[in-house]
Amino acid sequence: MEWVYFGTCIAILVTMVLAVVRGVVGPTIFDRVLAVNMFGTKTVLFIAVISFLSGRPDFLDLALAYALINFIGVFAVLLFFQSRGVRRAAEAERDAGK
Amino acid sequence: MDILLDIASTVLLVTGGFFVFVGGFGVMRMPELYTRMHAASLTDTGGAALILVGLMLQGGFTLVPLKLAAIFLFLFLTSPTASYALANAALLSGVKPPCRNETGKTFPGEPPVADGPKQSKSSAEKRTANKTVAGKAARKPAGKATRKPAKKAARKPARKKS
Amino acid sequence: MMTIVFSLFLLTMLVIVAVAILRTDNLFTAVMLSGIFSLIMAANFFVLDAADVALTEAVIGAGISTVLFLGALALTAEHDHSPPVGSWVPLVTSSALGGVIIFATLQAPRLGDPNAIVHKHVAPWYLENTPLLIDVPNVVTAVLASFRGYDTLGEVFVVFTACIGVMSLLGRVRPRGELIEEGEFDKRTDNLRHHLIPRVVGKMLVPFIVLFGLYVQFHGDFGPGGGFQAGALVAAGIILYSLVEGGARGRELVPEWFSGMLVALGAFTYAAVGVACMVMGGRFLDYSVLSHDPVHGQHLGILLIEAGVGMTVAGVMITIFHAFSRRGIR
Repeated sequence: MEWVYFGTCIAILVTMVLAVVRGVVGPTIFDRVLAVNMFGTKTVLFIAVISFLSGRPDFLDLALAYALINFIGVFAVLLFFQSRGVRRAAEAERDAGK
Repeated sequence: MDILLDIASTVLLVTGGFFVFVGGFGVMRMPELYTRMHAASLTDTGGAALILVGLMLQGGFTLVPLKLAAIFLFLFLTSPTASYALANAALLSGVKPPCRNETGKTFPGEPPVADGPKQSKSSAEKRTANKTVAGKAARKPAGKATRKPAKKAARKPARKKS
Repeated sequence: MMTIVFSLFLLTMLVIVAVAILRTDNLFTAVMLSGIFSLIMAANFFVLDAADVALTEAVIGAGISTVLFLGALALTAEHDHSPPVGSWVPLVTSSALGGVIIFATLQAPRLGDPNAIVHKHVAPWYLENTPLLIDVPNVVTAVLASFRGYDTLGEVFVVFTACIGVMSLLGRVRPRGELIEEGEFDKRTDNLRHHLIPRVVGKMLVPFIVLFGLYVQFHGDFGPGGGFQAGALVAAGIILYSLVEGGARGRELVPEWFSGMLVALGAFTYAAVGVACMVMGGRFLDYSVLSHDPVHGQHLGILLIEAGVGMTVAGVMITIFHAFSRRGIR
């Protein structure tokens, strides 16, 4: 059974590497946000599988905490882009008024 | 009984690992942002479900399967919401999905275009991407375009005031 | 062997992400990549069996820091305007220092070597004496809160001082200068209320996050947890509510006077426990005198100071977030 856990961990790690590559390469910023989000859920799975692999299931609290926190960043990104239009309009108005 | 649980867990974990890997592969190879989001969000939730259920079978009758069920529940709720929020942010910032515009319904904020594909990129890869995602993406702006112009119309007077 | 494989993957990714953060000039990219950096570090800590540190790094580094950085980016520019530096002095200096440090680590014992000094004298002492003196299953909490409690007092006061520093820069009163009126700025751009799905899911998850924060706070004796992680989790829940409903409603939920009071009250509680120990006949932060039995005294002391730590950390995070969200557009 341990080898199955190890194999799953390797699959998750390879996906993490692919997500990081997308985060580094990705031409638009949304690709990078997608990479962060995906990396977050893969971290949750990685922690869950490793806690079984090392025989210490009381470490699942970390996975639970991170599953709850992961999407706050994406909401902040959405808010950031939403307010960007208004911010740019305000800047343009201020620059025009100067 | 134990061996049965082990076999079931192995099958679920291997399938989950495969899903997760396919998701990562899709994020690398897909040509465009929305298709990458599609690959990432589907396999995130599906692979997570398989892996967590496979681990739950190994947990026995302790608190551990309950915690795994809680993790799965929260991932199930928040991962699609995060994809929605990201797609919305991308749409608000003007990233266009690759779609053919034949019905006259437009991407929010643009004047109507009579015919022809919206993207003018001519690589073969983009054309194949257009063909495969055209059906899905053509439905997507149609649904959003009916809601968005109403909001944009409400937003535009507010913008003009400032 | 498995640890080596995992660490190899994770540390390689760390180097790639670090180089990418340096080389980009779009600050938004840098913020997202530093979120990935924190997550890789959290996974790395976890592989090395340091669960408390991994939890803290994941929650604060990848959760709250990203939100605070995005708030700061909303108030400043998105692109790095520093000119490219061509001088060779920093490169030579940092390479020399890095080389000296790497040479020094070659002399240190290998990771996990049972003959290392720390594993022969320090660690066994703590592992043997924690069940006798403190009787708490999580030795990390015992060391953090009781054996090295003075150190943690310093950490709480560092967090408190950081909050004072940020508040002195960002101010507690409305900033002067041009500000788009609250009504106009507020409607579409301050909150996510018109997006139905994030609103419903976000509001539904806020009580769970706060409840989980409380669980982590009080479960710190038995598993990974404690005050720092719990404070960050509770703050993350309140920040989620503020993101979904808007800054004004978030400030109605947890007013600024309340979060400021939490900051001071937490640090005060910690120091007050120490003084109470002195008053009851022991030394400063010697919890054994707090109750009829030394072990119970230790439990009570750890409970109180972890509560203090949690209050301060939660208050600081909420205060800093409100300070950013209050500023609007200048």
